[in-house]
Amino acid sequence: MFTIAMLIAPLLLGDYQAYLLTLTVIWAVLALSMAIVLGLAGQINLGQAAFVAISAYTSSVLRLRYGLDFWLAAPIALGAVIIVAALMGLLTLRLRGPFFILVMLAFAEIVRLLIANWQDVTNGPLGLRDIAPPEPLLGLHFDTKIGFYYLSLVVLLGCMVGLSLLMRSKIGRLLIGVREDDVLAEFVGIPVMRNKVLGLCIGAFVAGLGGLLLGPFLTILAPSQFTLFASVDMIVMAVVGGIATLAGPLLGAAFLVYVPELLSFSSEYRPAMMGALLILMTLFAPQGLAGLASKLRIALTRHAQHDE
Amino acid sequence: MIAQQLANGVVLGCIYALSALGFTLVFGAARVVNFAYGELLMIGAFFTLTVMQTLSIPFFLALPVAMVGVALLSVALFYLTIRSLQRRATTALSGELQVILVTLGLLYVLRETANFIWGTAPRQMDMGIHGIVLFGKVVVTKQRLAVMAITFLLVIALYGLLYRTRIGRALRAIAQNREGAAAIGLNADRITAFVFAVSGAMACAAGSLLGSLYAVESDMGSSPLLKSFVIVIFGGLGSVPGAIVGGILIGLLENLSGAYVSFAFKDMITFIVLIVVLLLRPAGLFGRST
Amino acid sequence: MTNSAALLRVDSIAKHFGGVQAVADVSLQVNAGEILGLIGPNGAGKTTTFNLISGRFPPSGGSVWLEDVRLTGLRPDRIAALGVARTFQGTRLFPQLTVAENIETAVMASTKRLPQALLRERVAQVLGFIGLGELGSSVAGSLAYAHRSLLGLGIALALRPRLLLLDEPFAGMNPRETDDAALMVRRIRDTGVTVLLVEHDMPAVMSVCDRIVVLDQGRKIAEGNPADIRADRRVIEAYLGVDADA
Repeated sequence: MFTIAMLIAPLLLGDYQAYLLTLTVIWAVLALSMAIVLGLAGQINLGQAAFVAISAYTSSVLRLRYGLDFWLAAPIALGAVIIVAALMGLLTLRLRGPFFILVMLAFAEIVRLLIANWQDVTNGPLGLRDIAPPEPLLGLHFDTKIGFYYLSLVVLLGCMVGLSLLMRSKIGRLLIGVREDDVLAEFVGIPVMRNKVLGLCIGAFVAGLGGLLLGPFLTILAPSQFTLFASVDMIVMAVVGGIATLAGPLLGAAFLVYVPELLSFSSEYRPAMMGALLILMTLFAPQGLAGLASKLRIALTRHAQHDE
Repeated sequence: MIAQQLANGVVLGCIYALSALGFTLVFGAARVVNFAYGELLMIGAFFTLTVMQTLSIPFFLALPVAMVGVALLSVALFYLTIRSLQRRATTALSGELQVILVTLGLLYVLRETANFIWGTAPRQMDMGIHGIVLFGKVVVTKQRLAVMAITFLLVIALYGLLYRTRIGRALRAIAQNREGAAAIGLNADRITAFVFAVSGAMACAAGSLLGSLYAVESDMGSSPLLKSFVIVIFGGLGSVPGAIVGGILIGLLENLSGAYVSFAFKDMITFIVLIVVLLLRPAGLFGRST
Repeated sequence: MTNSAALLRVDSIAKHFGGVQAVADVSLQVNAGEILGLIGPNGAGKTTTFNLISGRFPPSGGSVWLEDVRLTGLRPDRIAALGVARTFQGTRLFPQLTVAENIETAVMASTKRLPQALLRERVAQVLGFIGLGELGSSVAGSLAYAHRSLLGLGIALALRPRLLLLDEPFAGMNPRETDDAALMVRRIRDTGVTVLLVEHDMPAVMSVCDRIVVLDQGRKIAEGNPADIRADRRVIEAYLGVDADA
């Protein structure tokens, strides 16, 4: 029933609310990508924003400078992200936690610096502007707020369904095995490196999908949007929502979009709020809001059983 | 000319070495990568400045006071956050990841608190030493010499602490083998708290020296954090000589590439070098492979 | 001295870590269908030898052969695919999965796509063999110690190995548990699986193993059946120190 609410909500609310909803959905895709990397590759990827940037910039540059159709630019951009992710994964995933984090941080900075300095292609620090919504496909139009919202929603739901199917499959089970205990997994016959890289690539792919949506949504792209901050944002959303469930990242994104709105936080306090959230959630609710929700549900059912 | 750049690079390297020492100690003893470390550095600089201003005492008297302050802060943070995690059973996120997440959170909280208390405008901190010394054609400010001297003293003090005191020996035992040390009765928690204190003091010193040479501002912590990380990886996580040698090397590398290659890209070069080193020697230059 | 029934052959294997020579020169073979025990005093190098055989890390010298296939230098997942499974001291599990899912994962890892029914059957078979059938839906991380070890064993058995490597299978067990475990090991052998185990618990080793190899300071000092080993002077000296006559 939640899905239905998501589907009809924008029709009832005004433009600004539709904007917030779309933002939530896109961020949910990004948060989901981070949850995938955390959950399947077992690593914190502080360079996740770089994957988003590569996808966003590749697709937007192809459209703005070379006149490509969105639907043609999209697979190229996604392909680019996967190749880069696979390369980085092969190089770095055998490194232990802190080392991996550092190399990915360095990688993210290198990507950002490249974007900021490659004036001819990316227009440097000023960024790209006037990014148009995707061209119509199969008779569907995406140049309205509602239209674009539905596109984003389809992407998010598609990812969630895809992930759900993946986890039930043999590939998914092997990925989970690697996450649960990579030493045991290897001795049980699972090629660990291959699967960790796969986990990273899947996460990068989803991040890439988010990046595709980001360009047309914000209509401008600049390297300053893709700093360490952005990756931490994704981590916070994933952790707040809970990485163990599919709905978690969506909850996290919703939290991060709507709570500042409701409390009319000025953007100055945002970093502090993120930081505090990260600390509190990790210490007291590592399963995230989704985890709390299921604990609540379990507690309530137990309570109900006692009453009988 | 090159000798000048080398000289400046060495001084910068000294500060980086101090910073890396604090970072590597915590890793060696507690296996913790402290992302909030850069912020301790920054707060250390602000503490020194504030102590100088409120008590009207010179830099060299304010520094030890501030170092104690940051040491205490560092211990408090350890007890409040990281220690409670180290007792946790694993959940969807491993303990290691949880610690990293918490220290990331601390990074932002500390930075914003500093912004709140001291504002975002950069401040100057006067060490009170003026004048220059000439070594042939190389100009070295007396201030820079003082920086090197302080670094030297602190490193000697640290070695004394690690190799001549009981608690230092305990620290090294824990760094080698946590379970074994616990088995013979060493209190890992207390020793880890001590390491956090020393680490905080080092961060304060590094930050204050950096602040006196350049400026004190609330986002001065992120660059040293990254660089300490890089240095410690170069030199081997937990290795004291590695941190010192690595610090000086990075200081030199940064200065030289800034002067001779490109100022904008000097950070990028440091990163690329880092990635290459890590790929060739996953344990760093001095590190061991576990 | 070649033996055509040898399933596993270890040829002059050696390993040093930094300056420490953990294993100097060990050669042994495990015959098909036997239960071989690898024992020795602390620091003898038996755990290192065990890890070398299972592929945890590569040797500094020498080689390991499974019949005519060279195991040295292969990644653990390749070795598992060749029919060698191992358990871990302290037991490694997939903590957030259920007991059944743990077994399932091992089966899935070692087979091409199996239809659901066949998969379930295989899992039930393993659970039945190790006696955890009732606990199928319990979360692995919450199991009691004894059940954890059984699950670890089950995960290894799920691979249908030819050679099973047991890492201190009797650790932390009281005499009755040890008897049960010994029975389990014999039952496993009776299904056609060859067993190599590393152990400290002497009575258990003596009762369950067909042959025993004794290491001391990284070298093999004796091998033979339990009775011979019990009486072997070099073995006694190794365990008690040189002054065995006093």
